[in-house]
Amino acid sequence: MKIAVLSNTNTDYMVRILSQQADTWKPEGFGNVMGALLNPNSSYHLYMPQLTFLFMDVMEVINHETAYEAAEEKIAGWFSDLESGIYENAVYYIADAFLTGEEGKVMADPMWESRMEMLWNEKLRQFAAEHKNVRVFPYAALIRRIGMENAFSEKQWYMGKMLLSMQAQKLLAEEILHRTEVEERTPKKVLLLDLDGTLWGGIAGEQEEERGEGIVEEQEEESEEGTAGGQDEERAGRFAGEQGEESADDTAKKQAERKTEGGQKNLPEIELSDDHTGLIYKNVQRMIKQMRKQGVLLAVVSKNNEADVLPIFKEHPHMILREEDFAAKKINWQQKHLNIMEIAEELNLGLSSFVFLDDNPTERELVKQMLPEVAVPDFPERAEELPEMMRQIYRTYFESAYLTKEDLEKTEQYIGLAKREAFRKETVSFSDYLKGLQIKITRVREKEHLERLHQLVNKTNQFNLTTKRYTEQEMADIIADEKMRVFAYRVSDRFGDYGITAIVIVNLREVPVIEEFAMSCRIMGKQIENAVLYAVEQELREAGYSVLKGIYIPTAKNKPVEKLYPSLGYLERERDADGKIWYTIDLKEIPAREFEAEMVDGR
Amino acid sequence: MSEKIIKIIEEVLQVPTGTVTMDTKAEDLEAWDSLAQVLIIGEMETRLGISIPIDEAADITSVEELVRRAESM
Repeated sequence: MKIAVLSNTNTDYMVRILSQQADTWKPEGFGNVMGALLNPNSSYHLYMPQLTFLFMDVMEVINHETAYEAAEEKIAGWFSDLESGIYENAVYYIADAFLTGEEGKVMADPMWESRMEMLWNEKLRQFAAEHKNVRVFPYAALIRRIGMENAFSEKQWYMGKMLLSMQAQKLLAEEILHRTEVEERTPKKVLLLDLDGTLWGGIAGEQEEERGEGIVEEQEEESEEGTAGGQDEERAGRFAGEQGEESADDTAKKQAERKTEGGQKNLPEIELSDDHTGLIYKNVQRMIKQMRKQGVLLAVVSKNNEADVLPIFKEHPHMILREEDFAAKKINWQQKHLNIMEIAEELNLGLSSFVFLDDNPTERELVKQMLPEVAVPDFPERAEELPEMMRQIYRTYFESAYLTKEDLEKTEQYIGLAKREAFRKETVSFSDYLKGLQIKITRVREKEHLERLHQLVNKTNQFNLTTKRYTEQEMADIIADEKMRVFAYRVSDRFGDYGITAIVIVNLREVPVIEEFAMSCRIMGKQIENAVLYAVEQELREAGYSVLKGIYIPTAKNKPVEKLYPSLGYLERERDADGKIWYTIDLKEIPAREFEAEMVDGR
Repeated sequence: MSEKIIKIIEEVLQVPTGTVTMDTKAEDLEAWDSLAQVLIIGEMETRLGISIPIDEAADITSVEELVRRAESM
């Protein structure tokens, strides 16, 4: 599965972790989210990711508009643009909002941040409801789990537009990999549940003696089975022994509890209540009920007398799960694997869609051995670990990428969902998008910016055709040299000024040759290189030159510009052993250059 | 302190323990690029509470200097 991360903040570290574990697109720079999505020839689209994760810092999307109406308009605009940039055969996860920004610290309205987040989340919910292939990424929940002070780093933000700490980026990467797995796998369908010690604490069957006998019986059955050789028998027997001891210890405690608790008339005494351990079991039942509402089928597989347990389902005031919640019930003294096979037949489902949950290690071991296709998760020793176990079971086996219509129909909370709000449907083309950016490229006087140009040439790795490095003195010499021509540009758009971010150095000693062409990654993906190169070509043509040469020297980092010259009509002339390529173009026959930018001479 | 800082640097650069020493400079290791620099300064603050002024943060690119700055606080 090929994945991509798009963000208007710096998530390079997350991408680096991800690329060690999955096929991951490596963006050139960050921030140009719509540029990557709307340009069909962007490196993002050429990579053809099947899964795209969008992490938008909402404060940047609303461009620091603190008024609701203005912010809402920005958010609507963003989703409208997104509509044009997504493909039906790919899947998109969009992060929900967790608003950060300095204004929030002085905001008089304490609800301001949550209201802003709601604007985004509501739009996102609608957008996801309208698109089968768009899902919500639980970003805010992950931030809350580790806490803001661990999740964000102001220093990293101001130094490198990196909003999230290493810890947070690692956590997000894990969640991305989890979602990737969820997208690929077939979820399980049925959760098989034991009763005593699993759905409630204690034992429903009244007599302790009976329970004792039950365990002896189990042991005998185990040895009769003679399943898979002596070693396994031994293990199964040991589990049964341990279980026997535990129950003997527990029964005394439970007897004492029963006396104090009082309990319901005619119902067996079990731990299921609104306090203490009883509440843990009740809450676990709430989790299971929620899973059922989302389409998980439930079945009971319990060694018990029906007469002892059915009244609990019908009358126990704290039971969350009721008889009608179960697709099948096997409450008898038959061995569990036989019951499970019967359920598989009744429901017409393969054993590989079953998960078996039982507190008794003997039963788990038996099912594992007899029915290896059935998933059998471990069961914790302590009651307080049950909710986390249930969460893991949900994530590991049942979580699906999206709920189907059938799943949804079962759920009240989705009824009447999302009156479809019409997103602006008109298509936005890449050039429309660029037009909207109001890009301005201003030629600056190179002498006045020696320091910046020196820095730009030496620090740029990705968009750098030759990766030549110069000392400041060499740079000064080049600028002073009449046989060298330096083209330096300041770039801005409606979101701000990017500073001096593009440079071309042409050597005019013989046939003009572009010795250096470098652009900051901040301005990549906006066809600015087309505009810059066009300006260079025009000027040289007007000066009477007829041919221009370009050079590409491959490095570990400048892959993004590998095809720049040929894509702009330059012809390959020569290629040496280490990959250095010479190109030429006829300046009288320059093909039309695509770009949307205003060119200004600021010298 | 120096062990803790070296540990953070090795973690950020994803290099084996022992690769980074007091004598290591950014230019010695390819992985120590500008992204790594941001992470090192950020993690020193988040984990160790060492806040290096932002105006100096990009220029302190050797282990020795980082440790010296940390210890002077």
